[in-house]
Amino acid sequence: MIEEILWYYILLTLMGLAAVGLFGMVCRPHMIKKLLMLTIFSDAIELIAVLAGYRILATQPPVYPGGVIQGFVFPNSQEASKFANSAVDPLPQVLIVTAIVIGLAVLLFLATLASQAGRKFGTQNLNKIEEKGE
Amino acid sequence: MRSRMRVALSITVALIFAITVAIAIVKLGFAGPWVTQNINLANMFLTGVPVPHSCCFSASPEVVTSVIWDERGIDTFYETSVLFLAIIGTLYMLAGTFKARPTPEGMTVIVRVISKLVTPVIIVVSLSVALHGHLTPGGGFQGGAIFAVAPVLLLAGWGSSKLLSLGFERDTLLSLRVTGVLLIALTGIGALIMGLVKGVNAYVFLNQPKPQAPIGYLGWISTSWGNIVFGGTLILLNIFEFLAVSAGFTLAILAVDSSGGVRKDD
Repeated sequence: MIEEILWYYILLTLMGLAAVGLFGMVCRPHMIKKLLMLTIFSDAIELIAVLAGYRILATQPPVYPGGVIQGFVFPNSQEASKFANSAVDPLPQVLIVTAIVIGLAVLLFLATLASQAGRKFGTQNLNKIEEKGE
Repeated sequence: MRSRMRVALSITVALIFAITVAIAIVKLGFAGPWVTQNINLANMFLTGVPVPHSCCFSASPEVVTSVIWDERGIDTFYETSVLFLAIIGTLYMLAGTFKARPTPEGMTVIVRVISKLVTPVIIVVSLSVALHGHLTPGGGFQGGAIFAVAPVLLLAGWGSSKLLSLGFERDTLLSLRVTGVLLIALTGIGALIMGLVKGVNAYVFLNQPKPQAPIGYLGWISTSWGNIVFGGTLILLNIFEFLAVSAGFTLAILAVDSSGGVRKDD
């Protein structure tokens, strides 16, 4: 029971966090704040995806515990299906690793753009840049 | 007026987001945390990746890394290319704005000593995460991202002259980065070239032998006290990805630190 309540609490918190990130990304005029909110938004979405792969009845990560210290022994199919019943879903984690890398690349590029815009216009506030343009 | 439009836009986007999540929960059979079994695709990977002679054997106990580098290796290669292009774009935007900083700028002696003590530990942890990526959670990208913290600490504590004296030159890092991506691509088509030479079927980013493709990389060595697992291409790709990502992030940090002024429009 307590696990289920915690699970839904975490889900709702992450959805609220995503909403905060979305709001800040659209409404804050400062570029750095937009970037911060972009990272908060993408992190919340990624955590929701990882949470969707989690189940309470699973007891281990998707790494086969094959005796790493004493030399690894490959499992047969019965051991593997027993492992599959007790491990969490690996696919959301796989997808999220890719999303993190792409997000980092985009963030690096956008941060450089923002710093260049700040040097060119003297401010990183989009409202002030628009006023200067008009 | 404009800010009101922005609020309306953000509310619309938030509504679309909420409706999408609601449809996903109600229509697609979202069962909450008490699911008894994973989905079929996940079960296929969990029961296949560590088992020899199965459909998707990767010679590795780590299912996540195996799926990343083996079953969807081309995708991960393109993801590395996106990171590569982002760093190239950053360097292009900052080109012509670099200025030399002859005098060392650093912080107090506390920060200097602590960063000097912590940096080797960070590098050892990053190497361990990258080199054990086929056995334990982690991998080349994670290790490279951890490694990139060390230059940041040195940069903040000691200034960029310390990094330059340690050999972190911009050209060296760029060539390391390019070498890493090139070696990933070569590892990916290595099995294909071997298949063409031997005249058998082979695929791009092939790791272990498959029923249709009878060749593959060395997956493990059997010894008297158990198997030493390499994971075939996994350990190679993790090392090369570590090289590419750590050099790329260090390069980007150095470039952002040493730039000043605006790029002139040509």
